[in-house]
Amino acid sequence: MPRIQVDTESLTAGGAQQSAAGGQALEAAGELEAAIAAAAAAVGDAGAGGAVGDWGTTWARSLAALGDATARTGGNLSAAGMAYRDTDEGQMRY
Amino acid sequence: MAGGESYGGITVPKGEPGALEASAGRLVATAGLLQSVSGHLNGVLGALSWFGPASAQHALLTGTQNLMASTSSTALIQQASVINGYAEVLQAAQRQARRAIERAKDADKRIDQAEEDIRQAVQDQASAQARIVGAQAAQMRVFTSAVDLLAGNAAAAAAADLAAAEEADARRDLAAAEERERQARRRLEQAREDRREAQQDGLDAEEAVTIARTGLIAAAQGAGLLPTQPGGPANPAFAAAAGIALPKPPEPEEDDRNWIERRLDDVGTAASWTWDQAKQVPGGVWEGVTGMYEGGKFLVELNPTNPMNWMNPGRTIERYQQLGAAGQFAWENPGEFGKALINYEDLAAGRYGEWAGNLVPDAILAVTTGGAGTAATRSARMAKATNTLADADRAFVRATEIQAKMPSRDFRLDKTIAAQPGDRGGISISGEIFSEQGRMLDRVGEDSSLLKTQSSAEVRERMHTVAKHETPPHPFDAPNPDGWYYGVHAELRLLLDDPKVPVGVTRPPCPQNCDPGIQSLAKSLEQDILMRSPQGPTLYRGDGTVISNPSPKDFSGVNSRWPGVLWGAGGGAAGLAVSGGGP
Repeated sequence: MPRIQVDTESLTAGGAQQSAAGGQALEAAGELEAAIAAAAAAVGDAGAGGAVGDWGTTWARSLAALGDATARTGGNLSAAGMAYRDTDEGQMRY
Repeated sequence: MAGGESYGGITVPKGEPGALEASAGRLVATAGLLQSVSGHLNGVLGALSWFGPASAQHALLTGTQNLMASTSSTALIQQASVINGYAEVLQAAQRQARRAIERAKDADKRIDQAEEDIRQAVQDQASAQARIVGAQAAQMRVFTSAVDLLAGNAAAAAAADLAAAEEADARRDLAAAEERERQARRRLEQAREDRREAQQDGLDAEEAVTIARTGLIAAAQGAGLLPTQPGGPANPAFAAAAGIALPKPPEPEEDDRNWIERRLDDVGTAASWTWDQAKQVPGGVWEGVTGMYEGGKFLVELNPTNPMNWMNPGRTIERYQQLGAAGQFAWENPGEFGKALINYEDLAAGRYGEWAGNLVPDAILAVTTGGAGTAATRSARMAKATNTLADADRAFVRATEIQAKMPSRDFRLDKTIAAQPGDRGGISISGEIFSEQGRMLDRVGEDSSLLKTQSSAEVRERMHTVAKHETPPHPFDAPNPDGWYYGVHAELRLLLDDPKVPVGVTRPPCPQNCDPGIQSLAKSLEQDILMRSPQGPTLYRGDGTVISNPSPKDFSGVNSRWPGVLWGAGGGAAGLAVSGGGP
């Protein structure tokens, strides 16, 4: 087993920041979807507008997936910090 | 939805440039948000005090998420550039189409007025002719009464004077009516020309938007980290590394078209006609394109499977736009086309900045320069020269077809017929009996109002004043003045009226007069003139040189360099996409 060294406080703080970043990515996904929907409606051609709209929809979903994954990774980071701390504090009592 | 208004075959392209620009702005703001995400994730990694196997896995996962956020931000900015560029094309095209409609309406009014004036003038001439005949008859009656005259009958003499005065008056009215008719016909011709130009401007605007829409679709479907299925990014391995679970993508439908064809077909039948036509040519444009770049740069940049293209959608779009505009030349000269389009000399010499700067979308140029070409790039001039050559071919085919269906042997074999391209282009027939020429055209279903009717004297005079060319005498001149014979040759009438429009003629220009005359005309006007005869095309350049069977690169200005000259009014977003990408 490789050496493990951890500052649990940095993990919980980093986890919160990463989750917040995931939330921002979700917000970006919503913004993107709205902006592209408006653009698609303004193109003036059903084919080209549809292509732009499809692009926005798929990208918004991808960004939402990225946001979700990032937020969950942040949650895991916080959980890891708590697990390290709980192990340190709770499992080695006399 | 803005646009859509239509008049006489001219339609203002639909779309809302303002809303598109606003959307592009929102995309840029969203890109900023993603940059912030990337910054936060960097901060997370930098602040962690954690070593161990799980730490390494987290760092890898977070680093990938960071990269995705950052890459997405860049892609959104590029997409914003594309949308902004399209908005600029659309705005300029709408403006041009609206102006074209106003001009067309004005021209139509003038056409109606001129036609009414002609009708009135013809009616007045008939009336004056009748008065002349009446007055002459009256005089005849008086003079035949010789007894009265010999007897010095005062009443008879007065009647004779009155009839003579009436005839003179009627002749003045006739001359005035004839002059009014001539002026009205000139106005009619000018109005029809204005109408044709307005129509062409409308078509140019429509085509520019069609090409730009092709680019928009290409950007949407072939550029960036585009997910291959809803909800998933393009690269499954990338997604897995970022911790994103992908659903299984649906099986793709069978499609034997190549990628470019699919993109162009997405805009439907309105896609560039050059592409559609080129596809029908044996060994067509696609084969030409695939074989034309030894270096493979152009092809690589059209290839959506190249990851670099995902990062530079604007550059890919540029290639599409240029391919659409210059497709015809590509099929004719694949090697030269490739080098010209990518400004091969710059590329070979490593002048990447100039190379990128010269890649201006022809769609934008066509609108912003209004065809004047003052800010034209090499590719735009090349495309224009290509079109001019194609127009000359069409003009020649038209002239030949008109002559072939002429009902009399004289017109079918002995006359020379010249024509401009297009159904509404001018027609000229050698000789000076215009009423007969018009009648012949009517008989074969051609519009006789398109017939050019300058007299030999007018042609000689204008060749003298405009081209500084003296029409030489010919044995057939008598009993007419010297130079009459050469002055009735067909092609000169068309070229003197509109030297910019290529002319097709059923006989080669005569070496005694027409050939040197056209050369002088081109030089005097500093205007390239293109003729197409049975011997092939001849380019009379504005600098005085004459080139047989020219290629597009032989036209004035095609090979001139324009380093640093960008599109001016259309500059900005799309340029960012190109320059940002680099070659």
